[in-house]
Amino acid sequence: MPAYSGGRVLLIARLLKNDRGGQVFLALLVATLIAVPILHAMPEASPWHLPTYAVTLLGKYLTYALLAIAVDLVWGYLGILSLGHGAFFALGGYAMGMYLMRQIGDRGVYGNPDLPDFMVFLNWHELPWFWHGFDSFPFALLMVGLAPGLLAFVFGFLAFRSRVTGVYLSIITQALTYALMLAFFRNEMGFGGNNGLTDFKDILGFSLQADSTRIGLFLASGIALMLGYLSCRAIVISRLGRVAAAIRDSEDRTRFIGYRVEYVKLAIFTFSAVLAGIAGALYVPQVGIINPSEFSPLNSIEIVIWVALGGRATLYGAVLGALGVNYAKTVFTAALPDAWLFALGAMFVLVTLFLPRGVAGLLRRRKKAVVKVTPAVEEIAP
Amino acid sequence: MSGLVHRDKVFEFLVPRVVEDLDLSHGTVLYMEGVSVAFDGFKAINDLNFYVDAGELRCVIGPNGAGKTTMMDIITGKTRPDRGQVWFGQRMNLLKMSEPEIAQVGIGRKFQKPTVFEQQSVFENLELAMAGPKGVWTTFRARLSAEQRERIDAVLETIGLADEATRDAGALSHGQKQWLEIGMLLMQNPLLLLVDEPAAGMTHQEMDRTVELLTGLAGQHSVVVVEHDMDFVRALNSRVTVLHQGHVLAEGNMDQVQADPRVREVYLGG
Repeated sequence: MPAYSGGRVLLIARLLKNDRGGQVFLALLVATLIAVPILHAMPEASPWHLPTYAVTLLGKYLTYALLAIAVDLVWGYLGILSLGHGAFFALGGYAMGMYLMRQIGDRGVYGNPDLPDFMVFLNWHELPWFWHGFDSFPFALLMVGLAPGLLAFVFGFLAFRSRVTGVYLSIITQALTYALMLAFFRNEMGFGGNNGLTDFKDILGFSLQADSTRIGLFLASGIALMLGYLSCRAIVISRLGRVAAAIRDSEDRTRFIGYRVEYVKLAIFTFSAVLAGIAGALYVPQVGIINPSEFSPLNSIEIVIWVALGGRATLYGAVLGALGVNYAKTVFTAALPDAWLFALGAMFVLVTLFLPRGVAGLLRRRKKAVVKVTPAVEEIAP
Repeated sequence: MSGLVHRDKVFEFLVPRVVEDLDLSHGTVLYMEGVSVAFDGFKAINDLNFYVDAGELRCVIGPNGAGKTTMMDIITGKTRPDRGQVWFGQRMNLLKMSEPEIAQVGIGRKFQKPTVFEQQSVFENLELAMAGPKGVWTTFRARLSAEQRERIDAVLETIGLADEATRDAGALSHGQKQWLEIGMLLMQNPLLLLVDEPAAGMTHQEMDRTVELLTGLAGQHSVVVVEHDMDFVRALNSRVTVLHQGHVLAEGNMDQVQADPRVREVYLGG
């Protein structure tokens, strides 16, 4: 089908038009997706060899990057500062975790073929209704999107209809994730209480410990990030994306020219939540555990910091922020574990003061200083 | 919460909305009858009766706090009155409609403070305001047709911003922003235009063009202009309604109104 794939290439070209940052990012991403499996396949003695733990670490970063894009879509382009996106990430993760739990079968500590270990421990005798279906991978995938999507839809429907905006909305998103954290901590909820879901064995019949599975998950994360980026670009450059920016800059005005502001918000917010859920679902098999601490408000705030550092309303800036901050976190928490939160706070303060448009804004400004071809097309606000 | 009960409303953006026909058989496009609204006991609008004929150009004047802006808020659905009725044509009850619905059936509004989308280009501002279906999915799939592009170009020409089409709206001068707002109104192609202080911050030449534009619009559209500048109102040469304490004090042409002793009292303090 040459015509079809030709159309696809055209589509991608159209999505990335005028998006230099995105072009660079996607090129680097593709290069990484090709290089990592090759480097990993090098003999262990070679200095080029990439150990498995590094592959998994990179895969984890990529899921964070996808999460950051989801937040940038609603914050940077729609003006909704969500301090609860960690909840959607965690819900997607739990949906995947439940599938992985069912795959354990009778290989658990208690060897019960019908019930996960924690249910045996709690003396439960049958599977709760909401665990049914998770033996099936397609069903689990459906839930990965549906659980966070439905929550975002209902939450957004109520919030946007009542015209809750700005800091009040941020506070309720924060409350939402906090409430979910408390709920998931309870054993009666049936999601493993504070231990969460862990001790996974395999996915689709492939052992999670196997190197090839790790590579596969890494590649899946990279492809999801790529598709996520392109779909967000598709929204952003469409007229809908410009309506979103209009809502961000003047919500009332947008209403008076005839747009149903709450529906636009609802659609984009829900889409963003689904993206976050997919990121969570890819995250869980790579880290091997999901527990209620993923709902912690602190996590959600950290995501916002990634986006702020990288640069809002650019999408690739969010990726940059997620990768940069998490790399710094990995290094710092190994070298100076106590200093990490101070370093994160300092970075946030410094960037807010000196780089209000984040690192991406810095890149853009430098480009503008060098190439002065199209002035006045996009002046940086004074 | 009524949206939860009326399921047809919940998914409205998925189905094309059928606008009921506007019935203008009596030649009146807007009826406001016995409208009152109070904010914390202060009666911003007090038993107001106000009618606009089809194709008419009307000026509304009045001292500060006379309720001019509140009146516009009520017509466009931003404020709900405590009492009274507001009808668009014979059949459309504006009090039961939301702001976007009111905008979609053909009532456009220019705000007192020019509010354009500063981070988007002049062209894009006009594109966003263009009349047409505005559901989420249609907006996502929307592509500009050649015809629509021409229409935008025509409006750019009319408002004298053709050379600024690619500039960010935020970079325009105050007067130009006013023009852009009027242009956005034109893109909506409304039956009734509510124009709040169009001449504010304009030079005399700009004012003359605005007068030309607004009088040119009357006929096809009904235009209601709220204005402080008496020279500007005089230049528009239309029927004038004087509001005072949320009530119509006098109505007539500019000379009649200025001769009215009650009006003189309100404006000149007796």
